[in-house]
Amino acid sequence: MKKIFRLYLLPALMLLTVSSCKKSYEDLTKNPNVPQTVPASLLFNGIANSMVDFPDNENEIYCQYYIYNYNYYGNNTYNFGSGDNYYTTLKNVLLMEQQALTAGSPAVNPYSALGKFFRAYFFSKMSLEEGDIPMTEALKGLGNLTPKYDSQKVVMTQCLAWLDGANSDLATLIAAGGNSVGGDIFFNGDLTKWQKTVNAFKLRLLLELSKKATTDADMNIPAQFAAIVNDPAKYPLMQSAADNLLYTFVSPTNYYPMSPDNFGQNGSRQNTSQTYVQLLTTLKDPRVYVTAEPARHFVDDLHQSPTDFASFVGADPGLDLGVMYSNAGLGLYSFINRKHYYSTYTGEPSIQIGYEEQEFNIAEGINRGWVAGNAETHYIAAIQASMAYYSIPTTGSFTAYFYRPGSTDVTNIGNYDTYTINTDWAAYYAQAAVKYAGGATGLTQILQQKYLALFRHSGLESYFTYRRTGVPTFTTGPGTSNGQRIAWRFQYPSSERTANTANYNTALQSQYAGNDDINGVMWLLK
Amino acid sequence: MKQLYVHFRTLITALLLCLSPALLFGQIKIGGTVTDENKQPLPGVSVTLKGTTKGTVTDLNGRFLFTVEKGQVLSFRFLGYVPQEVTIGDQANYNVTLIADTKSLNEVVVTALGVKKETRRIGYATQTVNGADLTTARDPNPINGLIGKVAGLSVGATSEILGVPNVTIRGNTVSLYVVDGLPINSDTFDLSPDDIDTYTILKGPAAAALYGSRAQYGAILITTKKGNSNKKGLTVDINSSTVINKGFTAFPRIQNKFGPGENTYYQFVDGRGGAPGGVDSDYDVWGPYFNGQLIPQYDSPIVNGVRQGTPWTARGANNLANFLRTGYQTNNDIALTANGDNYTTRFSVSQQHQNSYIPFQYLDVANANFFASFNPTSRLKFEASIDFNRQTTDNYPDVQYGPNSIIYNMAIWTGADWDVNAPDIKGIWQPGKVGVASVFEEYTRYHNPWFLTKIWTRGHTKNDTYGYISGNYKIDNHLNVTLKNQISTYNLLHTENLPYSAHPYGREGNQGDYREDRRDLFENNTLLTLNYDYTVKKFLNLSGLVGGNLRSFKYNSSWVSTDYLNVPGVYAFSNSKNPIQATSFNSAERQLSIFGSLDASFGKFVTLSGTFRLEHSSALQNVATYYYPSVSAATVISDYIKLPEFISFLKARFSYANIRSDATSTTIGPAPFSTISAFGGSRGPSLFDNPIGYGTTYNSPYNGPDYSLLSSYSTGKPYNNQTAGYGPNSLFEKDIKTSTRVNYEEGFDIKFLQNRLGFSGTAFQYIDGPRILDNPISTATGYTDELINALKTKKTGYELSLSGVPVKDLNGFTWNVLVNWSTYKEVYLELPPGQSTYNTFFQKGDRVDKFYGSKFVRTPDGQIINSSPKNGIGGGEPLVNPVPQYMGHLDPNYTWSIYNNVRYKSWSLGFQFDGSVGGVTADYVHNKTMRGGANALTAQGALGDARYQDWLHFPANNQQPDPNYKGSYVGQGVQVSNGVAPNFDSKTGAVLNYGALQYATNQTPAFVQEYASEYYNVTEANLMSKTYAKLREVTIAYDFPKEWLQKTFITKASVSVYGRNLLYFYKNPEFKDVDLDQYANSRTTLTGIQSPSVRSYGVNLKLSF
Repeated sequence: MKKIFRLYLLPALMLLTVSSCKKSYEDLTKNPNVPQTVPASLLFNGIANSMVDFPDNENEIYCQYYIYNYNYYGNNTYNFGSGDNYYTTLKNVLLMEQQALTAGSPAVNPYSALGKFFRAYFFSKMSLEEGDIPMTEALKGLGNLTPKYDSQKVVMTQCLAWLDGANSDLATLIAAGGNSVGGDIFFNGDLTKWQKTVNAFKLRLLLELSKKATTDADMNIPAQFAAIVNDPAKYPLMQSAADNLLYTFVSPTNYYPMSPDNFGQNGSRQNTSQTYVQLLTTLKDPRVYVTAEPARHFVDDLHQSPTDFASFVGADPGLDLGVMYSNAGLGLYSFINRKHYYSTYTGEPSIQIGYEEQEFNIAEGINRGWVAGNAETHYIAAIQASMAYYSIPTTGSFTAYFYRPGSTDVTNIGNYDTYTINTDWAAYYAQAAVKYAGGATGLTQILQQKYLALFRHSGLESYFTYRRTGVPTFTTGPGTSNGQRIAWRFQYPSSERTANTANYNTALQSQYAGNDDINGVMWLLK
Repeated sequence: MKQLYVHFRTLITALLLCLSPALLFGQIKIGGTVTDENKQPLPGVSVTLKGTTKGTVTDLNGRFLFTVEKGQVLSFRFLGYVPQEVTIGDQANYNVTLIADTKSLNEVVVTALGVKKETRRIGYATQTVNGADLTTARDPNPINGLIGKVAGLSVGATSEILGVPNVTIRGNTVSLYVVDGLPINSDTFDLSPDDIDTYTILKGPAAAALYGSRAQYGAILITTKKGNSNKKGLTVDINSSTVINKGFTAFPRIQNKFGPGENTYYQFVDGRGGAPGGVDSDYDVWGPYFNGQLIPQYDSPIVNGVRQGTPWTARGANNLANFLRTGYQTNNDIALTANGDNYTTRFSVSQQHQNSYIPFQYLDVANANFFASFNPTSRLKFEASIDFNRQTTDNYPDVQYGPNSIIYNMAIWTGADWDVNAPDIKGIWQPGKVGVASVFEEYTRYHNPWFLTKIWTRGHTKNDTYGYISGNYKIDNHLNVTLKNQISTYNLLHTENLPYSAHPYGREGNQGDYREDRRDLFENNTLLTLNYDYTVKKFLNLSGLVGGNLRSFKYNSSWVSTDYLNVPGVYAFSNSKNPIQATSFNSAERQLSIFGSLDASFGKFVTLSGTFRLEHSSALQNVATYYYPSVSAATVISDYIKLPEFISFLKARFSYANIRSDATSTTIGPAPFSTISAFGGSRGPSLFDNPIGYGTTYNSPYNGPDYSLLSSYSTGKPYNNQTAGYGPNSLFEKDIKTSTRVNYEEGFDIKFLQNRLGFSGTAFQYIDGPRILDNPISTATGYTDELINALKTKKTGYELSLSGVPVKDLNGFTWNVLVNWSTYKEVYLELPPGQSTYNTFFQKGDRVDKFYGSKFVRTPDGQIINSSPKNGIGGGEPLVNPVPQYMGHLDPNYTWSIYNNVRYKSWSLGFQFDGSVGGVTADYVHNKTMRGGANALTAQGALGDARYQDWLHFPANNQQPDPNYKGSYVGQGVQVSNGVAPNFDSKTGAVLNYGALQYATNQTPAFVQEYASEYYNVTEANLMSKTYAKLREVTIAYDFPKEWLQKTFITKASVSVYGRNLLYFYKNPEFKDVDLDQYANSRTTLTGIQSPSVRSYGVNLKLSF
């Protein structure tokens, strides 16, 4: 019996010891694989990444820059679904501010200052896309699961106030010296650059409200605009493109969305749009040689010069996709420039908030009479900054690269036909269509040039500008769907319908006759 | 052979001599055979000497030996038969025939924790399948054999190697496999079918309540063979089968009239695309008509730097069929059983080799199982069992849609312009670029299938070990106590060798990778039970058990990958070009359970049973204690009420159970809570994150904590290897409780005509909830979802099972039939508080399986509205409703199966039909091949004619160039003729301004490629019925007659030939490219891509000696 005990029970006991309990039950409930909290700098990094609008996505379709010809990969329809949802990012902004305080920072600290900017940036963008949105009751977690909607006017007013606060907080912090933020992928923690960004962004936001400048006098839109432009000491602005809020692509972690790796898949599935290219060629604008390539049919079959502006043709975004695809296959359209966009892994940096736009915005403000000044000076500075971005000299020459038909390697410089393009700023600017004319024509010129400068930059900004000004002319047709209309807004997140039903319905009722209608007109467009 | 036999005989004799010295004393040695009414031997009949405790049991052939004195009385007892007594006379041989007891049918089944009970006393539904039934016509996966054998059990079998079948009971995936009373973590490939005696399916929570939450969806109990203690000495069982896989029941239907390309145009430049003039990369199969015209192709000669045209023909018309080979698998199992007076041992080894019908791909499974039991005294019994299983392959397929899949590469996206058996294609590598650049006709998205299957390989090794030791002590005739200690553990290694020039989704750099996925699981259960059995005044019987179980669980895994390779073909982390990417996961859980059961039988009237389990678990927000009760009642009405003669048995049963479950998951993926974003895969707080952007995630058994109720931050490296942090996106209700399932079940079993016909019916109702619900909330809160206790659904179902013996032993002819039928329906009973809708479209009372998808916009009288042209150009393609519309329900109306077995003397023929009726899904392959131009239908009828016209007129094809040609396919339906845009209700999708719309018949021609790509991108165009049927298996078996075997050492031999998956019946040929087996029992809204489903034919040989 004793032997049996040893033989059989001993191993049993051994097994028990193997699996004996070292941790308490309480310990075992924890998830050991994830952090329970992270410092403000890491949250900052996450928020910064979340604010980036990348090139080569739907935004470019909606702005009619670079459009699909191939239905399988996408289309050019304005059948908008839900807009951008930045609430979880905004929650991270709150957490970042809390973490900064927890770590012992004073009440006004770089994270709290930029927290105000991020609030203004994300809330205003969502409102621009959708209309009224929850703001004052938002971001309370369990504290309020059904936040009511704030009117767009309240949202915009608050965003402008936050930007003002961000500016003055940053001024204080910069003056105190030694302040910075960690995890900054744009400015490496340089708060002076952030301060300029904040003010440049405020100019943009005020212009988004251009239709409300006179109707809603209580918002003081022109005055706020003038205050910034007139007081550079209090409201420092970007001085050059070096101040741009840029997203710079890096290899191997963050490839430009177009690269040698996906040239084969995507290179011919999109082509340039008439809205963009026709504007360039009408203005005899040398930027067309950097961003586009000649349509091969005109060069190879009709033997036009590859540098002839007539050889650059974009497709009408309203065109039926089947027809556009067939035409694209026949070489009737310009593709995006292979050298500039496909031959490397880093492409070009993507401007989120830039000096060019700021200068156009100031020009527009002056043109609208919001502030006194010389609109033309800012207009010229902006155009020249945009040319410089593409390394186009104001006067001199540069080389245009066009991918040679039948070539087999997009990275090989030998596969490009090269053309020396001479530029003459004076001649370019002397054109009636370019030379700032002031008045309504001047406004159109500013907006057209801004549209050209924002190619692949600043997300939906060109769409928003079109919505409030109609410049440049967007086209529609069977290819844009939505009954051949440009949609006026994005829908609310689908969770609102089930989880915040009453407030959602109220918001729809007060704005869009109860329908979450993409063709409904929001307050700031009225 | 003869020599071997002599050896064996010597061995057996020696063993017998050693083991049975006690047999040879006594007065008279008598013997005999016990048979049933059909002269079939009855093994296991208890033979006792009346008035003593001496006894024995009959062996497999019904034979017994006994040493008695003349005049003594032997009594023969066997469950289900009328006991019989025989007085010993002078003769030495006694042949006893036992008569079946038709009055009380005392079948015994295994119930939870391995407790055997008479079915008459069970108040819930179970069904038992003999292991032997599944090894005769075997499937590589043993569980696939259960298809159609059990009402309410459904197996979503896949045709893939290592494809784990989705086993559902009453519509819920069952994950609890219990071997000999203790749960194991099984992927079903680690079960050795030859070692399995019976499968018992516990269908509902009441049946399985003793197992706690893991059994909420039922359980499959497996009883292994333990050596027949009734048969002393050494027995050897050999089971061998060989199966070939040939012929397909579902195969992609592709066209061979048009080649690859776009807009009917194709020209090879370099296969890398983007070159103006070449449409040679990432193309569709919308290319030129095969007309023998000269087109530069991948293998066309280059003269003076210019690629020449070569004839454009369908040289690869049957590429896929030509590529696939005949698959086969072999299974061999040898089991040795040695039994003595106070011990039984069984040892078995088996091997299975499966050679896929996809070239180069295979799987080996080896299994060793050892069981021993030993009774040192009559009161004490020890048992030990160990099972080791090893699955291994260097190369198994990944069929998931994408460049990694042969179907993607051969049936969907490349045309018939290349020949899979051409020497250059078969040669795989480009001359001078071995290991660096493969040969194909395209180099950005598609792959040479030989390269894909031979060079780009995935390895899998999994070692499973489970076993237990137990000791049982009989305190007295009423009480016994068992201590059992069990382990279930596995470790697995998955590898992937991604060669240079492979370019799956997210890895377009063509520079290869090496990845390892390692997982280790260890689970230990220590179980102590006290079993009791008391009878009071011969009327009230109380039996049951009380016990406790301590479960400890530990799991860890890591997922590591290179970020491109420096040197081609060296698959090692040290060869990584960019920094290695890695992630790990650890988890642990402890559960202490206390449980008990009581069966109270009141004479012949009724048995009332109750079970109770208390759980103390670490797998919730906080340490939690909760319990599951169950009660059931069974009454055999025919025992106490006189029923008409033709009803031989009638039983009614009822049960109730309340099961709770904590935050655990039954399976786990490769990189839980992964922070890797470099490869374009999914990343989030989930157990199933896949760090790469292509391929199937291999999920393995887990049954551990999922940490879903804990708030946590996450990190990632979105930019330049800098770490970013993100706050939690989920909110948690305070003190979340376990989720609840309440189950009611009612049923009856009735047998007619001396049990020749049996009919069993069960109805069940499950009320699920409040569950632990991950409920989407207003994102304006800053969070996306809240974990709450809410949402109730009710599932109602019925199961019918009919078994009969229409012909019984009529001149050696017997016909058995088994019919199973089942159905269920689930509806929302209670939505989360404050919500009038759930999941956007669902309201209280709605079926939960309503399927919403995209539909065409139609006029009030049902005609499709097409887009209008602009300036006379374009349009003519259907408008699609912006709001998803109701398509049908996903669950089938019912499933059915019919199994027949006809036996004539030594021959038997078995065949099974099964299928399901009702329900819908969308066909993914159809969607892809119609949009991509590969589907046979795109080259037929009006589409085919217009396609030809498109080719003829496209200017670049130099046939009948027409620069103004704008297509010729005119889609059905109308166009809005008055320029009014339709407006839609954003909630329902209803057209708000029908009144303002005027229509004209659509007259706008469209290009076929565009039309098909738009039309077939709509769910409605790919919607398929889930009604199908299969001839599942046909088996012809032959048992060698005893007379033949008598002179040999073989005691039993049988041979069978069989076929599985023989015929697939589906009404609409348009959708016969998908085998619904895999999707029949799941709420799949879109079928996946699957390997063609194959027929198998096999031979099976069983020998015992």
